[in-house]
Amino acid sequence: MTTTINIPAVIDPVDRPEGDPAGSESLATSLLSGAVRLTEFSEEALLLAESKWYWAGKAAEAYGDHAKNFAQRHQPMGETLKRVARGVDVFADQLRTLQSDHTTISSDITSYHRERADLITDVNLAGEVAEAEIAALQERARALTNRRAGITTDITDLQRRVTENEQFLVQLFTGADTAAEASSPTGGISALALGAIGRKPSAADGPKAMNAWWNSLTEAERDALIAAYPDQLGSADGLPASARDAANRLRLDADLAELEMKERDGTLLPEEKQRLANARATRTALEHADGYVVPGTDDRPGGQLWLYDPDAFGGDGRVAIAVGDLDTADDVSVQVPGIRTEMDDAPGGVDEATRLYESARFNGDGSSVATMFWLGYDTPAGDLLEWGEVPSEDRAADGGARLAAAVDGLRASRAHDPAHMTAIGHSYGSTTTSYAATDHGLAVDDIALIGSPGTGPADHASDFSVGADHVYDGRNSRDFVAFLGDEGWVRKDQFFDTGLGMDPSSEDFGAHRFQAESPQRGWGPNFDDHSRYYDRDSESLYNLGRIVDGHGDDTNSASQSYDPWWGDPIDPEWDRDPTSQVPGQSQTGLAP
Amino acid sequence: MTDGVTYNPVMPGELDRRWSSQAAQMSALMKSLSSAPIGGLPSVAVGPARTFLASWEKIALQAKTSSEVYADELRETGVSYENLDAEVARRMAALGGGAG
Repeated sequence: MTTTINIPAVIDPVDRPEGDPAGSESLATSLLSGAVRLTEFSEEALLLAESKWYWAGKAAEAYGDHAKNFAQRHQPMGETLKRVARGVDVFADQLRTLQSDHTTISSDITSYHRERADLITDVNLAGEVAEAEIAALQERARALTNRRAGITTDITDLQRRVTENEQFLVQLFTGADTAAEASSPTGGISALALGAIGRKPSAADGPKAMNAWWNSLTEAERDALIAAYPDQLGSADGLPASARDAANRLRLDADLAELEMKERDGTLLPEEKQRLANARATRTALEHADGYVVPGTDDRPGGQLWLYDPDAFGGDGRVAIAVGDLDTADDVSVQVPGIRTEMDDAPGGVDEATRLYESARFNGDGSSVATMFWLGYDTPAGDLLEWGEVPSEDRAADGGARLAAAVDGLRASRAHDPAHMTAIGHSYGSTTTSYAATDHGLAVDDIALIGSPGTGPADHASDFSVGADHVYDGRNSRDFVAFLGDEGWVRKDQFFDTGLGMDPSSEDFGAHRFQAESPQRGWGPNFDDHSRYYDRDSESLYNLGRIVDGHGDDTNSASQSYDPWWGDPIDPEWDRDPTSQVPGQSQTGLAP
Repeated sequence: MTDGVTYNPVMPGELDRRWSSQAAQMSALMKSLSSAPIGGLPSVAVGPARTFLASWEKIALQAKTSSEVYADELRETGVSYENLDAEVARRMAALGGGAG
């Protein structure tokens, strides 16, 4: 009896996507620098048209009108060239992804051919074989056929994406290669982007609508949009972090190219100095995130620029940078900094995020993690300890609304794959976090407050959106700022104009207090201990890592402080010996 | 209608210098566009990229030429004002002793 085993056909090799990402990026850089030059040119032309202080009269007017018109015609050109430069950058990024996908598919094909050859050999060797062996051979052939179908689909998909990416690039060039297109406000914007942006919901429609819109777009439309409208996408709540990151990096690169060239040329305006400082701080912080390798491991989580808005709040700026992938991580944390934190503090904030990432992974259950330094609100400039400088809670109230909106955006961006999320508020940031959790339904799973001067509107942990069981507090017993919160009958904010509400470490507040002492702690209350919560191999960082990893119920508890009627408030942690590098208590990573 | 004529002799020199610097900027832009690296692009995009770059070189060239024209015209304007001033001065001087 003859048995037929259908061996699936070979798969033809697939052409590698043509082009060189690094070479394309060089072109983008070159175009960007040209765009900056053109922008400077038109700005200077406009200034040159205004010559009133040394020349007036009909001749001067005629010159001024002509020169102004000339300047205005050139004004959009810099933007057009900038858009094309960004588009080439987006093309290069996508090309890199496509080439990597091609490598994966080629390796799949090789492995498919190997298995196919093995099957043919086994079939040829088989003479009179038992039915079971024939069934096994047929099963292998069926599996191989399915495999072939999967690889063929991948190839078709890759080829479609390659074509779309190349078409996008071609349209980019052809859409801005005439003088009329160059000076048009929509020059360099592809038809794809123009069509897609018209369907974009407004921010008022909410992050879910934004996410639905994004999901309705093709990959080519998304690339075109990022190149054309990075300003609109970089802070759009509801978009995936990867899209926001791509848009914000383009904006950052453009800012740095433009402002640094102006600085070199001596044409940097006074109001642009702060913007340049903010951009540089962001670059440094992003380098810290991108280059971070978890000590003693090969784990390189990478960074994401989730928010970049250097002009916000009168030049103080807004920025948020993540370590790890916010789109896919099982556990996501958002760290809210406190008073006087500005964009030049971003590198330090990212360093804290890296240490938190390490701790959550090192003492975690193997889940993936992303930790984000979020400076998305206008922190006060006062001093919590200076008489007359104590900030009001207005900034915390406003920041709370912004924090809740940011978290809603993160939630909406992955509605079908929700992460376990933790908000960590430090210092005044803990008051901000309290506002978010009390007044705006902060949609995280767990909340940790560290070095808190008070919980703003919340009198009890049960006022928080997450419920009292999911509210944690870390307080170093020597942290001066943490003394400012209310305990017992004394309302410090009312009587002494200090503090910002309840002390979350107190038994009256009802949060889970965790150990947060430091071996470097001072003999008495001091400021240094206010900045030790993210120290590597510390009790605080160990416990924060456990909370971020979703195991807040397995932190090392500390007794709450209390206020006996017969004396001052008592902190039971005062006399406990702090630890460092103790496994299960304060070890947060491998020795570097 | 203007409020009269004001002319500061610093004008031609200042505007000439700055428009000439503008022309130099555009010259540099032309150079960078002509040497922009397109080797990393896929073959399908090379032609459009060349056309694009050539078009922008032309834009830069026109901007450079216009800047030079402004510089030249303003220099000439300065000379014209000076000539007019000198001419009027001559005429005033030529009024002789009969006037006044």
